[in-house]
Amino acid sequence: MLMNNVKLAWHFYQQEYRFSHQRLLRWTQGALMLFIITLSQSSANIQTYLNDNLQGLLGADAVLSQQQALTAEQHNDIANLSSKVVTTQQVKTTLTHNGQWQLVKLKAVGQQYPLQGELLTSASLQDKGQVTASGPQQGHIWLDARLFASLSVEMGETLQVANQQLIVSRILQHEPDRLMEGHTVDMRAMINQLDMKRLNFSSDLIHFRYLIAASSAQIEQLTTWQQQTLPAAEIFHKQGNHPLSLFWKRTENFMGLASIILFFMAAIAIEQLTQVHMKKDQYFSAICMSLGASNTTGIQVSLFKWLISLLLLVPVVLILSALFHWLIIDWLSGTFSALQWQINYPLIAKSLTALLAVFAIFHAPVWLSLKNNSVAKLFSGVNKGFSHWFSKLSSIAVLTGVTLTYSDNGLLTLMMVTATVITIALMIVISWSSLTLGEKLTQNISGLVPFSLFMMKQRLINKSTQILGVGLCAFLLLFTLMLLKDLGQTMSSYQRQHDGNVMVSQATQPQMEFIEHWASDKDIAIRQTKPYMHAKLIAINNQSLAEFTDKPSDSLATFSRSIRLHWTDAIPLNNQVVDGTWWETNTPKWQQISIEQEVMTDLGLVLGDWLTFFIGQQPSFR
Amino acid sequence: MPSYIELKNASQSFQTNDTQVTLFNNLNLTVHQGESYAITGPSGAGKSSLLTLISGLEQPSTGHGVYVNAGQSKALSELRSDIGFIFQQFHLLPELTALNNVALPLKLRGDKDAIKKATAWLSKVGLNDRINHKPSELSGGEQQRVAIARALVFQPKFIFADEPTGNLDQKCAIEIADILFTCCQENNAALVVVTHSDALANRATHQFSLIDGQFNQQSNQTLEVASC
Ligand SMILES: Nc1ncnc2c1ncn2[C@@H]1O[C@H](COP(=O)(O)OP(=O)(O)OP(=O)(O)O)[C@@H](O)[C@H]1O
Ligand SMILES: [Mg+2]
Repeated sequence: MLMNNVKLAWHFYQQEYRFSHQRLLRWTQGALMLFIITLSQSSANIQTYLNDNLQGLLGADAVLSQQQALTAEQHNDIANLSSKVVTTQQVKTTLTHNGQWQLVKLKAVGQQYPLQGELLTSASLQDKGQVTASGPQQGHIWLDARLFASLSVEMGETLQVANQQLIVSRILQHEPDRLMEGHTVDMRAMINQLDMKRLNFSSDLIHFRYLIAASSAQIEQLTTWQQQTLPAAEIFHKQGNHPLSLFWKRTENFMGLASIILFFMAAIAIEQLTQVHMKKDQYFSAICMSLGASNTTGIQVSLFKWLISLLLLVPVVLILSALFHWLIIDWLSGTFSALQWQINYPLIAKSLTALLAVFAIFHAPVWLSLKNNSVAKLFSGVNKGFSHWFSKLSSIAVLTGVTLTYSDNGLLTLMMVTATVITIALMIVISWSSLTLGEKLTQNISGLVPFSLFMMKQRLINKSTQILGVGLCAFLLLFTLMLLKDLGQTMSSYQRQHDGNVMVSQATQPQMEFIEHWASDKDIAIRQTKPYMHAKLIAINNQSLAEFTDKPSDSLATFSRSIRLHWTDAIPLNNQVVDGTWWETNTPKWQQISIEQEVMTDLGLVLGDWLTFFIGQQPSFR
Repeated sequence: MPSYIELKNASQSFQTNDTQVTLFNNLNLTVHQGESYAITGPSGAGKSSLLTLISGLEQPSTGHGVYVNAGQSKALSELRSDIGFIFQQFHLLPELTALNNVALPLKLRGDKDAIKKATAWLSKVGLNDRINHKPSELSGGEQQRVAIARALVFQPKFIFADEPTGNLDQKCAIEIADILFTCCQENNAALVVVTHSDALANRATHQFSLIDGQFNQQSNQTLEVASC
């Protein structure tokens, strides 16, 4: 019986294949499926990419950073919040090799490192970085390329750190948690946690960073906990005001909204089409039933026919969507380097099921009316009553469901939905009242104008869904464009804030010339170059540093070594003078220096203090 | 044991907005297999509505109908696989050719010879040169003949015809009436015809009229020796 009905459905499907309403429905459904699958695949692809990228830049969802190690109790508290916590320790020390020496930031990590993102290392300076599962083994040290070159070591040689011998075994290319440490130009090296213990640094020199995997809720808890128990510690997290995370949030919101908008458009189109299709299908089933088919046969044939027409679309849709997905990714890979085309099979299954469910819900009134109505009623095509309301309610339910699934920003979604509803209301009111007014005004003039207005009003009721559909689509399209514009602005302002996306931390004069040449060749703007020389602060107001302040601080520690002293005529675009005045050109008092606000407070400096630097051979500066 | 349909105390009324239209009240009628019935009456009297009730395509507002087959009584909706219905509005599928329209009921029954039988029936109603035309390419009378062929092609036990000759010329009408009554005779089927034509009504064994909700049997008809 069932088999026979499937056969019948197949037969009628073939017979109906060329009918214009079938063809229209097929094309629309196919286009929608193609659209949604391509979109979901591409956006999933990009989201994964951005997520990986962000992980690669942040290395953790949250980072707790402080000068001391956490106590066992504090450690417990964190472990209760998140199951994944990785500790890193950092110390500034000097590495020497064959009479060369360098100040480095030495980082000690355990086997669990990295927590998120990829650690990239290579075997030689020329090699590309390879993904490395965890940090160096005990007795090994990895150096970053700059350090490797400046110490002129060879792979496999040993370095003396404190009293320990460490083998140089790899070149450190990228640490995923680097960005959350803040921008520094320090040279970097990495060792195993156990070696750190044996190196026996005094504990106040070691800086502890705890990389934590956490959800947004956990991050919130963590922040509260930190404020209560460890007010001195610093916490960085994804949701924080890190510009990248802001950008990421924006992207996620946009993707969510775009999906909702697309689904709205899709729903309108499907609803429109099923209205037509439903009448046909109902009529067809009514004829079959009047010719001896039972209710069950009628419903089954209709159901199978529907299913066959969709299932046959699937392979075509999948092939085409893979193609479009590939094209999109190929096009985007210009912007997102290393973005790779990747098919997400579970997502395909999920989207297809969701689409099928949506189509089914829109088609369900047919099956319901076949079940509940007498054959004679089916012929007259009455669709008032239950199934009519069912179809309207189910459309609303579908839209609500879609909205809830896709939105990740309640307020934004609410705003969009409200805007949509207001638009609909406005469209109804404006068209209705203008037509009524027109009819009234033209009543006394010739007969044709009021008649056509009257007809338009009549049609308005009949065609309201079509009119709403078209109007809504136009509105949604505009809305999407606005959103895209907004996203574009965010992106460009993000780029402006960040002064480009490549930083060269050190270059000699010939190297700089090469860079300038290369940049002008490739039409690349160099946002900023900062010439510098090493300078060592030797006195403040003619007192030695030790005499001037005995309060230990980061700044003092920095100034106890030589620093990079920059010079420029004009204020750099991304800097800003908080206090005092920038020097004028040709001023006789040319010995002036600007200092970061934080450093001023740290050292207790006021405007007008004299700093004496040792540069090359000469001391001087204010 | 021949089967029959029985309507007991059937009433039909429609509620439209705030007015109620009552077509008939407490109507009793039995349709036996192998016999022919004609229903006449003015337009709007409710003849078509009555026909849908007898055939089980619609339920009466009150009262009920039974289908007694081989001594077992069933609901009228069970009757559906045994009826051939010729609609006043034909109800052909506009997208299918005449042939496929006629073959439809056979295909629904899984008949392998559907096309062959349908072709035969189309030539029987005089349409062998219109086999591959769609309903929109056929005249009203031709469409009616397609509808008749579709209703008879699977040899149903009960044939319901709503104005089967309304759109036909006299010669054609006689031919179609011949086909209907022959079919009824050959297959021992029941035939219920709704018609405005006395000529057609007079050929039926039983003749009824439906006027102002009153259902009357025309007396003299049974006396005439008019087998179906
Ligand atoms: N679904 C319905 N809803 C409301 N009224 C209906 C419905 N179906 C039929 N009627 C009304 O019932 C009355 C009888 O209709 P019906 O089609 O049975 O008439 P008829 O006797 O077949 O007429 P004709 O000879 O013109 O075919 C009509 O007045 C019609 O308006
Ligand atoms: Mg009628």
